[in-house]
Amino acid sequence: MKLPIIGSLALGATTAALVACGNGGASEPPVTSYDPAATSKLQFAVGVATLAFGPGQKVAYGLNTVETLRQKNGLSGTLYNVPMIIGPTNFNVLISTETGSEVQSAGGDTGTNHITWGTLNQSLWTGPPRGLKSSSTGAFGYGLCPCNSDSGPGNGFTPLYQAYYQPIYGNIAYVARWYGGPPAFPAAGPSVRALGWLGYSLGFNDFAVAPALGTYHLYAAVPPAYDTPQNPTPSPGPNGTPTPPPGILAAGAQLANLRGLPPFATPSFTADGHGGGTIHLSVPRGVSETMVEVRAVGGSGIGVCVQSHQTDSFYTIVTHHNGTQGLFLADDLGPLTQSGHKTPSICPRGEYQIYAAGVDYPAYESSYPQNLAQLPLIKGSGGQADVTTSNLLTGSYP
Amino acid sequence: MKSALLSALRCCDCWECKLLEDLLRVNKLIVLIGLCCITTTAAALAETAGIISGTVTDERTHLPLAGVRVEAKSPSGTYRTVTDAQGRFRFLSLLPDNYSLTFSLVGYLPYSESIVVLNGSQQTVTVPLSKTIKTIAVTHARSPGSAFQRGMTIDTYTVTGAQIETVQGKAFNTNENQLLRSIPSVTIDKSGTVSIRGGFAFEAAYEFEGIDYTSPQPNLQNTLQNISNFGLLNGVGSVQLIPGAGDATRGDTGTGLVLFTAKHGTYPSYFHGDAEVQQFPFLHQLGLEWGWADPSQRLSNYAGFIGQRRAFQYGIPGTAANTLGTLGTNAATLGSTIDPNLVYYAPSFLKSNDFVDNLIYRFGHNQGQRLQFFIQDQAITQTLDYGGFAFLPYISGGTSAGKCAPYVVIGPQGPVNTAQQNFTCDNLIPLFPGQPNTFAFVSSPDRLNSPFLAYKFEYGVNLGTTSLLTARYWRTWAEQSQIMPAQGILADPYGGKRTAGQIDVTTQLGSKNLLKYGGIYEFIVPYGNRYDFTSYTAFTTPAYIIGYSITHPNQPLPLPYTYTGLLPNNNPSAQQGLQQDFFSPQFCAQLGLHSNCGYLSGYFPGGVRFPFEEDIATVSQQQYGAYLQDTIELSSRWKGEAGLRLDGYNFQIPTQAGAPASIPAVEHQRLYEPHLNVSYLPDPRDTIRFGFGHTLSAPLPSLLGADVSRAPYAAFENIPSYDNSTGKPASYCGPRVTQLCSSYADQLYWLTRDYRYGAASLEAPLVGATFTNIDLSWAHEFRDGAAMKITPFYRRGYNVIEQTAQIIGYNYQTGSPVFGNVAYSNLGIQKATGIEALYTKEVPVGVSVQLGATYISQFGNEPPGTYLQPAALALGETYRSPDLSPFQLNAALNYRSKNGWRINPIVGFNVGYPYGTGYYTAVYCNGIPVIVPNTSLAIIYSQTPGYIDPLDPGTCTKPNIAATRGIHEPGLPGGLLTTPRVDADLTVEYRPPTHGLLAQSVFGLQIQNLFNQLYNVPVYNGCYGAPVTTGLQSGNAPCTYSTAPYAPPDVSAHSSSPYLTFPNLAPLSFRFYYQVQI
Repeated sequence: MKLPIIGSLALGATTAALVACGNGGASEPPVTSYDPAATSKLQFAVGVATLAFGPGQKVAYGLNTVETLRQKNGLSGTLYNVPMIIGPTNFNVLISTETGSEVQSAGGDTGTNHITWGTLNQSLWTGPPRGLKSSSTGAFGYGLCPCNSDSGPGNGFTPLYQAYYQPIYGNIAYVARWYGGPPAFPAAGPSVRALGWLGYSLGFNDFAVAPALGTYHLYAAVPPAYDTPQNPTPSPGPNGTPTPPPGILAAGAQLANLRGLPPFATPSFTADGHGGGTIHLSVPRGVSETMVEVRAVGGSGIGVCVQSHQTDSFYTIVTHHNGTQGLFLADDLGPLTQSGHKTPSICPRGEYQIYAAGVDYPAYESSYPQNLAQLPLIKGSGGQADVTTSNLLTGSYP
Repeated sequence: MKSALLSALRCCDCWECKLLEDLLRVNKLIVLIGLCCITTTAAALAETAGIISGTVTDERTHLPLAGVRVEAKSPSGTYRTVTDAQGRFRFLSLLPDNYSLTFSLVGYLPYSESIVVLNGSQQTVTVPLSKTIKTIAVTHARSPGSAFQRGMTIDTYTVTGAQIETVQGKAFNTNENQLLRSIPSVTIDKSGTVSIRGGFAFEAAYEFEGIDYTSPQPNLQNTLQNISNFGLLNGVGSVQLIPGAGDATRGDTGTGLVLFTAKHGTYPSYFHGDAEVQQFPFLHQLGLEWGWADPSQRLSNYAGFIGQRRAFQYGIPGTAANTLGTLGTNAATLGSTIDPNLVYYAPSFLKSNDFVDNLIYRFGHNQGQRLQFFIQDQAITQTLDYGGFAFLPYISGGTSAGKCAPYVVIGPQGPVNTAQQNFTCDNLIPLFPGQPNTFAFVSSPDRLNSPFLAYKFEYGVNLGTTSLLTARYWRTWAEQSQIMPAQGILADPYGGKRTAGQIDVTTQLGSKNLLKYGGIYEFIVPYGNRYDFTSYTAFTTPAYIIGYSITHPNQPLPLPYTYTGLLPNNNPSAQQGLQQDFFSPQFCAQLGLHSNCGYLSGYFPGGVRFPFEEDIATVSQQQYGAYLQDTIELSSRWKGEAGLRLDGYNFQIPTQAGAPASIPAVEHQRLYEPHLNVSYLPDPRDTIRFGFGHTLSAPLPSLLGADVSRAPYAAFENIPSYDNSTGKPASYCGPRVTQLCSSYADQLYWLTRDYRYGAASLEAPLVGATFTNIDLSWAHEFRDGAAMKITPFYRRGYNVIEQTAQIIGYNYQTGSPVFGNVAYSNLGIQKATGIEALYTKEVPVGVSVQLGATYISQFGNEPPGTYLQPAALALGETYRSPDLSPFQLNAALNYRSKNGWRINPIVGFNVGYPYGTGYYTAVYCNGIPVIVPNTSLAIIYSQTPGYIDPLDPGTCTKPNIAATRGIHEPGLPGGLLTTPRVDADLTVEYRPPTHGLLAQSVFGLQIQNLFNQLYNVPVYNGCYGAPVTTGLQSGNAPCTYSTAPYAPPDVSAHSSSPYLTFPNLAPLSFRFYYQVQI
C-alpha cells in the first residue's frame, strides 16, 4: 500500500507543480511599451507661405508650418496621434487668401484660431483614400500628414506617406502635392512602389489663411489606452488646455515677421525628347534652397513606357543657388520595369506638372531619409520657416 | 532439488534460462523450468492473427522429438498440431488471446506454458521435454503490451485490453484520441488531431481488423483527420501502433500505422454492460458486448454496441457562444483572428449508435481453416449551431426586405449599404431549399449525419504445416449528409467507398526463415453531390458581397460574418461586375446603367437568381501493393528482417482540353519501398533494434480532380456568353482561364470552379509524399516486470504536399489576410528528429503504470498562422512545425486494491504549442525571394509585428520599423510557445465482492478535465490597436472591432493583448457509470 500512496503523492505533487507553471495555454504574451512623451520629441516651426497661383501669377500669403515628432533614432515618434494647431487669438481660420471666400472643408474650425483634426481629415485636402478607407491625420517625423495607422484593419496596417493637396484652404484648382523623389531622394524599388509609395515628405504644410503674429501651439494627443466609447481618444480642448494629461505632446513656435519670401515665378521646361529635359527657373532672393518638383502624370502618354507609369511619379531637384538657372531632369528616372530596366522620366506624350518651393531653412537637409536626428533644424536664421511656392507648369511631353 | 533445477536450466542455451539460473543461484526464485526461450516479435502484419512456432527436443540428448502433440488453448480457440521429424511445430493463425501451450509425448512428462498472442505477433519457443524430472512449470508471462519485447525487429507499441482500461480510465471509453495519445510517437496537435511522429494526420494509416479505415474522401468534419470511423472506439481488443517505416507487409503507411484489433467471441462466453450518465454537459451512454463460442470453439461471435447521446460544452458554462473564440481547428491553424462563429456553429448535440460484430468459424483438419465476417455500422447525427438557431438567418443573410447587411461597401466613415447590395441580397442570392425569402430565419438547426459502414469476409487456411494463406475482401462506406441552412451547405449524402481484395501468405522456411508475401488491390470511389449556396460571390466583385448582421438585440448571434463573402474572386481574369447582367431593367435604369446592365433580363423576363454550386466527385483511385519479406533468425542474439514492397496508385483523372501536360505523368505512381530491420540481444533483459524503411503516403482523392457540376447552369446553356465589360463573349474559360466561353452557362461554370478550386488547381500535378524513416530502439526489462523502451528517430519527407497562397488583401472586419489562389505542389519538406520513451508496468493488484513521452523537433514548410507564402517555398524555408508541441508526456496510473477499489489518474502534459507571426518572413522583394523583417512592406496589411514609419519606410529588405506590437517575436513564425498545459482525468471505481454470483457489478466515477483547463492556443488579435511608439503602448482607436456592431463582447476585455486566448474547451465534468460483467 505504501507504493501507491507514494506514487499518488508524487503524481499529485508533480501534477500540481505542472498546473502551477501553466494554466492551459491561457497565457497571452507580455507587452513591453514605452511612453512616447518620454522617448520622442516634438518641435514646431511656423512661417509665412508665399503662394503663387493661377493665371497671372496671383500671390497669396498663408501660414507655413513645419513639425517633427521623432524618436531618438529619428523615426516618427508615434504612428497614431491626433494633432491640433492653435494660433494666437487674432489668427482666424475664416477667409481663404487664395479664393477670398470662406474656407472650404474647415468644419468647426471656421472662424476660430485653431486647425483641428476635423479639417485635417477632410478628403478635399487629403485626397481619396489609397485603399478602402482614409487614414486620419497625425503629426509625424517630418510634417503632418494623413498617415495614421487607422485606414486598414487594426492589426498592423501602417500606411505609406500621403501628401496633402496644398495649400490647405487654397483654391482647389491650383493645389499640388509635394513628394520628394529622385534624383534628390532615393528611388523606391518596384515592391514598395507597388504598395503605393509616391515619395518622401518635404516637411511643410501650408494653409491659405492669413498668418498672424504671435505664438502657435501644436498638440499631438497620443491615446493612452484603447479607444472605446468609455475611454475615448483624448484630444486637446480648443482653449489650448491639454486634456487629459499626460497623453498630449505639445510644442510652440513664434511667428515674429509677416514679411514672407518673394513670390516664385512659374518654372519653364525644355524637353530633350528622351524622357527628361531642362527646367528653367528664377529663384527669388532670400531663398536658401529650392526644391523643384516634377510630376509625371500616371497613365498618360503612349508606348510601353506607360506600362511602368500607371501611377504618378514625382522627381525632385534641389538647388541652393539664387537667380535664374537651368536644372536638368535626367532622362531615365522613371519606375523600374518588372525586369529591373530603367524607364523614361516622362513618357512620350505624357502629361507633366512642374512647380517649385523655395525655403529659408534647411528643409531638404532635415528630410528623410538622410536626416535621422531627433531634432533636425526646421527654422531659418530668422527663427521662422518661410516658404514660397510657384504656380504649376502643366504640359505634355513631346 | 536446486541442483536438479540448475541442471535442467543448463540444457537451455538461451538468455532467459541463464537469468533464471542466476536467480536460482541466489535463492530468489523457486521455480523449475522445463523450457525457456520465447522470442517475440510483433510485426506490422496485415493479418488478423498471430504465429507461434518452435522446436521440441529431448532435454538430455538435445535431439529433436517428432510426434509431440502440441495444443494451444485459449477462450478464443483451441489449436492442435504435432512436431515433425525435426521436432518443429508451428501455429500460423492463432486468434489474439492468452494461450496455454501444452506439449505431450508418451514417455515424457507433459509440459505447458502461457503465451500471449497478438495480431501479427510471431513467437518462437524452444521446449526440452524431460523423462524424469517432475516439475511444475512457472514461467514469466510477459505482457505483449510491455515496453520490452524480446527480439523485436520493428518499432512498435501495443496497448492491450488491460492497458486500454488504464490509459482510458475505464472500459467503454470511446475516446480514440485519448487512447492514441498514450502511445509514444503520437502527439495531439493543437487542433486536437492525432499526429504520428509529427506527420500530418492524412499521412498516417489506420486499420481496424485488417480493414483500411483511411478516409476514402475528404473528411468533412475535420479536414485534417484521416480516419473514417469518427474517432469513436467500440469493440477494440487491442491497439498496435507502428511509427515510422514498420515492415513491408503494409503499404501507404506514410508516417505511421495504427492497427485496431477487434474483440472476438470466447468459450466460456461473457457479457458486459455499461450505463453512464453525466449531468453537465449532458451525456447518456449505453454499452453492451457479448462474446461467445461453442464448446468446440469452432464458431464464435463478438457483438458490441455503444450508443451515446451527448451535449457539447465549450469553455465556461453559461457563456454565450460568440464569446468563446475559436475551436482551434481552423482558426488556430490558419491563424485567423477572432472568429467566434466557429464555436457558434460548432456541434451542440451528438447522437451515435455504433455496432460491431465479429463472427469466426473454424473448420477443417485441426481447424486449420477459418472464415471470418466482421462488420462495423455507425450512425452518427450531430446537431450544430451551438449558439442556438432562434433568429439565425439563412446564409443569404438578409434581415428585412429591401435592406441587406449593413456593411461591406466601405465609405469614408466605414461600411455602408448600397442599392446594388440590397438588390442583390433581395433578388439574386440563391435560396436554400425551403427558404421562403432571403431575409427569413432558419426553422431548424444545421445537422450532420455521418453513417459509416465497414465489413469484411476473410478466409484463412493452413497450407500444409509450414504455410498460411489469408484472403480477405472488404468494403467501407464513409459519408455525410449535411443539411445546414444557416451555413448554406446541403449534401445528401456525400462520401466515398473503398473496396479491396487482399492475399497474404506466411511460409516457414526451415527453422531460420519466415517468409511473407502478398498483395492488395483497392478501389476508391467518391460519390454524391454537395450543394453550396455561398459561392454566389463567384459572380460578384468584393464591393457587392453580401454578409449578414446581428439580427436580434437579445440574442447572442454571430457577428457580421460571411463565410467566403469577403474573399475576392480567385479567378485572376474574373469579370468584374458580372452581377449586373442579373439586374432588372428597372434597377439598371435606377442606377443609370444602360450599356452593360441587365443582359439576362431578355432571357429571363421575370428575373433569375444566381445559380448555386454543385460539387461533384470525379476522381476514383486505384491502389495496389505487393510485398516480399523474410525474417531470419541469424543467431540466438541476432535477428534480421528484409522486405521490399511495391506501392502504387492510379487516379482516374478526367482529362480536359487544355489541362497541364504533366497530368498523365503523375496520375499513376509506383514506389518500391525497401525495409531493413535488425535486432540484437546483448543480454536477457535488453534488446536493441535498428530499422530503416521508405514509405509512401498516397495523396487523398480530395487533392485531385475537384470539379463542380454544370447542372445548375443548364438554364443558361442557350444564352450566348457575354462579358459586360467588353460587350463581347467572355474569354476566361478553360483550365488555363484563356478559352472563349461557349455559352453563358460555360461562363458561370468556370467562374464558379475557379472560385472554388482556383484556376490552376483542378488537376494539380501532385505525387504522393514519401518518407525515409530511421529509428533505433533500446528496450530494457526490470526485474519486477516493469519495462522501458527508448527510441530516437529521424524522418525525412520528400514530395510533401504543400499549399501555397499569396496574400492579396485583408478582411476589412477582422484584418485577417485574404489569400489568392491556393496552389498545391510537391515542393514540401518535412524533417523530424525526436526521441520516444515508454515505461510500462502491469500488475493485477497494486499500481500499473503506462508512461509515454515524445520529444519531437520537426521542421517543414508549413508556417503557423497562414498559408505558406510562395517566396518561402522558393527559398526552401522551413519552420518549426506549427501545430506540434515539442514535448508531450502522458502518464496513466492504475491502482487496484485487493478489496475491489480502483483509482486511475491520467495526466497529459505538454510544454506548449508554437504560435506567433515571427519577426521575419519570406517575400518576393523586387522579384527576388528573400527573408525580411515582417512589416507591412512585406505582408500587406496583415499580421505584421513590425510597423514601418510611413514617412521613411525603408526598403522591403531593410524596413524602418518605428514600432512593434510590443512583444518579442523571435525568428520565423512559430517562435513563441504557449504556457505548458496539464490535462488530467481521474477515475474511481469500486467492484464489490460477488460472493458466488455470476454477475460482477462495477460502480465508477470519472472526473474529466480535473484541472478545468478551458483555454486553447492564443490567436492573433486583429483588434489590437495600431502602434503608438516603439515597443508599443496599448492600442488606439482604429481597429474596426472597436465599435459596435463589429466588436465581439469579449474583445474590450482583451483589447490590449496582441494575442487572445479564449476559453473554448470542455470544462470539468463528472461522469457516473455502472457496469456489469457476467
